[in-house]
Amino acid sequence: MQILVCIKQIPDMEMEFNLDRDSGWLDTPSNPEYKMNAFDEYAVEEALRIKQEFPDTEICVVTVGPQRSREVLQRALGMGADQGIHIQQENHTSSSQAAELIGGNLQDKYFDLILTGAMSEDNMQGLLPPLLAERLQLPVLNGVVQLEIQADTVRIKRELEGGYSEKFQVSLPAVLSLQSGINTPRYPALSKLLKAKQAEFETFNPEEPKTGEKLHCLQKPRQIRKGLWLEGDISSKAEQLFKILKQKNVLSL
Amino acid sequence: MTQKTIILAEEINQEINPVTFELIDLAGKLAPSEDPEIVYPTHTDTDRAKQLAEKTGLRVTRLKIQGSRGYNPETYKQAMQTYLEQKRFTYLLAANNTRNRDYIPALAHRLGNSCISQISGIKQSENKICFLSPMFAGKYEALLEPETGSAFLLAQPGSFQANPPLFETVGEVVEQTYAGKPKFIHSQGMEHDQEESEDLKKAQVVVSAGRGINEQDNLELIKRTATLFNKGSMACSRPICDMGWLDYKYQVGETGATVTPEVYMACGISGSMQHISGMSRSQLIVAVNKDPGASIFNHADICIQEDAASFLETFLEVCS
Repeated sequence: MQILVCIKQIPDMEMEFNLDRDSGWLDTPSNPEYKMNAFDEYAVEEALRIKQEFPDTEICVVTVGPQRSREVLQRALGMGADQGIHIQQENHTSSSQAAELIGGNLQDKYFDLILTGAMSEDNMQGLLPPLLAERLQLPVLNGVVQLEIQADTVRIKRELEGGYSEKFQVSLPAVLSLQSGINTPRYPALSKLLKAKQAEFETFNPEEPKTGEKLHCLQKPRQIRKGLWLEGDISSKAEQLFKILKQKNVLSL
Repeated sequence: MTQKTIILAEEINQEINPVTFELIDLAGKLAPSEDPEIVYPTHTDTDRAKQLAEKTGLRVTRLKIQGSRGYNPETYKQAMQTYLEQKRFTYLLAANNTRNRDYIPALAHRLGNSCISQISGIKQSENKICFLSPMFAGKYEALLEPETGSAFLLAQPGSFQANPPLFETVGEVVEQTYAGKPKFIHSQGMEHDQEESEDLKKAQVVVSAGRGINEQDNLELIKRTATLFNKGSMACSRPICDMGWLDYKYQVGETGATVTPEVYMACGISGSMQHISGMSRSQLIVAVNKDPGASIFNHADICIQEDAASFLETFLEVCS
């Protein structure tokens, strides 16, 4: 079977960002670090798991982004994916733009299954799977925690909020977004990673699509509770917290 | 008929989902002078429509969806499309949850509209309204402005006020039926499979671990800290369960337990909206994180910038 996995390169969230007040956007640090969106690793791993069961499976990974985002295609190939597609975009793309770019450029290709992570750690919208499915006229389900391919259908269990789950049978082709924790993503194998560095990726250079919403700027999140910052060294902070909790009468000491 | 805002109501545990009232609060902020209208799509025979009309005083359309056993995103999408095509509206408000994300964004696209999810607030300036939505792991929030005729907005539960206003009048209830057969997706039932831990349910103090605890062995510090309290329990954020370090029954957040203890100690938790919605109503929130930019600090009463494991070690010494 043919599987497409949508993956994304994102900035390492542990980097020190600087918000540029004029542009309303983040300054790129002098030594920027990027990585594969952690949620997407589950999607690549799940495709590999299906390939173990059905060895004639071919796994294609696709990413939207600048030249550097080929690193995540290489990483996915290092994990065991077969081929990569790079849709070049210099600017930051929204979920709806990514859906249009992937859906538009890959519409002549056939995939039995399209897998995605739950969301990207930078945009955090979780809108790519439904928007991509709508473009391709395919069924879609979010939050998948178990999946089992049976001939031309897939049986899935997916997680809802508050400890509920529900099961569906979906006919293929279909788009599934996977919940984190569905599997344990493997590390890329060094030998495959080295080979991936030489890999050729099919590349598209489309224009930036229009978007339905304008991102004016970023801001620091609002302070919801009036946070009191404890000062001093670590022992002093521990003692201050001890006093606060003692006053609350919750300690069993 | 013109209607400025349409609210998608839903039920949970045979009750009106409280987030429906939050959406009414949001609608009031968006269009203070106009009453929103509620649409309540359902495949069940239970009827919350009357209850909704009584509690809110608003006009409720009960959209009865026939033809599928259980919730089915295909039939819900078709039914909602049929309903919305008869309406003129500026905003469709729905809760940001797994089911709504199945079909609301696609419907927005199909009807030529934009969709913004995970909305946690609004910012009004001059004559435009921007919606706040977290970005970059919640370290920043984006100001997004829809540029289409109507916008479909998925609001993050817990972000708006859920106190239902009292109305003296009862809203009108309208019934519409939609019959359609799903082509691709067949429902095979719903389950409640994650009972939260008994200790966690009863806890007065919750000591909760996040990825910033760094090593599985450090969970011992969380457990030992929880024993310092009269009714203490350990808990964690989702990544800890995903890594297999703790069972999902200890998970606090959207897909796990919602807790309201007297004290919630978030240790090494970055503070995603999904986690916040499970603990934001705790009385006192203490956050320990070595990253001063972690968004958990925006939701904390007491902020401690330290490595979580080192701090707990020191705290345990102080308490002994």
